[in-house]
Amino acid sequence: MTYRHFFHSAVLLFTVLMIACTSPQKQEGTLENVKVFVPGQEKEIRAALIGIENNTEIILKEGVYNFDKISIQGPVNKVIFRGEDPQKTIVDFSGQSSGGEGLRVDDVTDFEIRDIQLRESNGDLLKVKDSKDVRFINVHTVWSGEPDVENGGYGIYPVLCENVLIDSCYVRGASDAGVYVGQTTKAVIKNSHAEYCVAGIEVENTIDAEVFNNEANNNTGGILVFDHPGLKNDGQNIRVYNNHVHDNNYRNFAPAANSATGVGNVPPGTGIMVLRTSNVQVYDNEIHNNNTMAVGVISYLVLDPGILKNNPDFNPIPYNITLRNNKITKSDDFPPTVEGHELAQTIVALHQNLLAAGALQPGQGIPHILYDGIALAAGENPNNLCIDESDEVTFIELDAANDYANIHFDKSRYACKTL
Amino acid sequence: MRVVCFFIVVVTLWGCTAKPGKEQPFTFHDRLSQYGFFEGNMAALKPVSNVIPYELNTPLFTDYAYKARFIKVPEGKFLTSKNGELFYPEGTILIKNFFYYQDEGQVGKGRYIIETRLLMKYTNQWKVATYIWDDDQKEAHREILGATKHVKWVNRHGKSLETDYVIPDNNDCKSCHKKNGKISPIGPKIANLNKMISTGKEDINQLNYLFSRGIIKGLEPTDQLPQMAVWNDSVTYTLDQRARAYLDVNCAHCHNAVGPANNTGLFLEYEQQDLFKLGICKGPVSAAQGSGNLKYDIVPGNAEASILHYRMNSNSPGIAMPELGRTLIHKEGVALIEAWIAGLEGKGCD
Repeated sequence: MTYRHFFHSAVLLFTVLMIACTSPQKQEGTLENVKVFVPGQEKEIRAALIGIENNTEIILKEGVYNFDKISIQGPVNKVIFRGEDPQKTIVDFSGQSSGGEGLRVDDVTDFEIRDIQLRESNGDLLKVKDSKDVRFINVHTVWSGEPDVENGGYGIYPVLCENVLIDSCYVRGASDAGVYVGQTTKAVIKNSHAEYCVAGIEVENTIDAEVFNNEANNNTGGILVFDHPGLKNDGQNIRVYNNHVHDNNYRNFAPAANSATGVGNVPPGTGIMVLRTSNVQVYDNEIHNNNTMAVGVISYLVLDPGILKNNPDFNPIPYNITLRNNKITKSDDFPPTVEGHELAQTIVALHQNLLAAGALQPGQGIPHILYDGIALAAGENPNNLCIDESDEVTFIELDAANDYANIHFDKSRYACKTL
Repeated sequence: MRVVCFFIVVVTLWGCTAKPGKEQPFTFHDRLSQYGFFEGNMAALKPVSNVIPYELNTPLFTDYAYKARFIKVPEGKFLTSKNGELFYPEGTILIKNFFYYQDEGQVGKGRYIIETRLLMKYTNQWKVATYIWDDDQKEAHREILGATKHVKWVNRHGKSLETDYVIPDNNDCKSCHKKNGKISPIGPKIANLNKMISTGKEDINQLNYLFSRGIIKGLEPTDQLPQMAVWNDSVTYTLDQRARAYLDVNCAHCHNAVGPANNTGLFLEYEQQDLFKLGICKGPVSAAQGSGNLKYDIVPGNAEASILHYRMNSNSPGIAMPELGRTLIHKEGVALIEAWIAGLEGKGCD
């Protein structure tokens, strides 16, 4: 062997060892501990998640990964879990045999998941609980195929979190809510797309949320702002703006199709629905072709008439709701999916009565904004509803508390006092 | 040149090893036998003198597995109790062995130990480890990733049963054993330990026995301490006491205000007095398909209409409760809750 050969071998060996040494490749990650995996290393990934330490970045290279379920259990600081692209890195939970969700994350401060697709779990796909500074970026959660009652409940599901960002995500096929932010303080949901879910995007018992630049279509209901009794937060300060909410007429395929309190109640043909929550502003949205309840402002009593008996401390009324400058159009015909849905059928029957009574002209559909009009206090506008919409936007107050006795269509009674 | 090459290899490999200066982290032994908990044939689970067995009034259901429980407290240290809660000294180890008799009617035919779970208190934090037993029952090896094990046995009614028993991974352990974000023991509460046992020589209250062994100190008189019902002892305890004990042990480790299911608003502790929190006429929050088209967690007088009963009576993931720790339906437990709901006052919710 010549000197040159020796030199070459030495350089080659050195290079090989350097690669071995720095693999997982340092340059790929941004955190102190970077772990890179390829399909087939599912066991190693589970071990890495179980032994996770502060400042860890888990990178899943292109390909399909199969898991029963996986989880990250804190307390731990700074974790990034990411793929290469939602179309390239796919985590499949079709084999889920136990547990409540595909990927569960508990008690992480500064958690980011990005550029990845999760799909086909029996339970929820991605639940993040008791965590702070949580970011979902370019994450897809998908149940493919015909939307089905057997699909899991929630796609992207942060609950009891603080400071959540959901940006550029895509959700499909959830039998409850595609994006569901629950009992959280401070949340931003933007640039995301929800389709073929029962609820496209839902914000529940959450304080300080902004929902903007999203598209929700072909769900049962596009965007929901809900509040349940007996939970950590009373939902408040929610702004829903610049969203495109259209064609949400899909059948309600929630498992509890007529449950007391869940999204099973949402009538097929719902655009934006505000249930019970306080200080909600819905403005500058494009709301088209949601053909049962384009916009609804609804009391919890509609869902659970016994709630005050069972939970006397709960105030079921939506309060301080503002509807402003939304563009709303819809068909005069109900979607065929209202068939068999209890609350939707109530609206259909009401519509027929209004036609029969001559309150609506033949062929005229149910108005755009539905307000149940239920109030616990007396006075002209005790719930402080404020409507500042163009003349094209129609309105109906149902007087649901009094068996629909005093229905009217005059939204000027709720004209905003100040802007 | 060979020397240079060797030098490069050494230097480069040296760069690969762990950074110096880091504290040696806590580690469990790889093999169960290394702890020396048991003397003689390990599978006989005969504890050495400082490893003390204990029992519970009402245990968690784990696919009909039997459990042999032990506690080891470091020499000179002891547990203390306050308001029904136990406080453990540093170094305490809780040891729980899961096994099946081949035939519950004839236990002499032998048994098979599947796994041993340890909870160890170290630097004021509880650490978890699971050891899976070899088929020859001579040794158990630590496994963080969990496993499934096919098990078959004959129950006390002579019926053959089998399942794919799930040995939890380490994160599964944490997802149940969390309280206020910290890992904590579930079973050994004062109320659940407050029971008569037989030591072989005498019948004695277990807490007094643990006191006599120096394991607990500063104990109030046992008749002043809370006592949890035995879930299947209908002679001594009322239906309500038994059902509430069952729900406490099987559900409330998650379903309490500081537990993993605190997002549900459904809190099932033995002490819970708020009927709405207990699920009476409470609508589900995020049950999704777990709600089974039912309106309320518990409808007094109607178990079939109650989500609680529906989820206990299922073994599909996404529906079954508890979410972890069982693949089979606990028929006797379901029957207890069924009877309890049927007897609740105030029929219906609407």
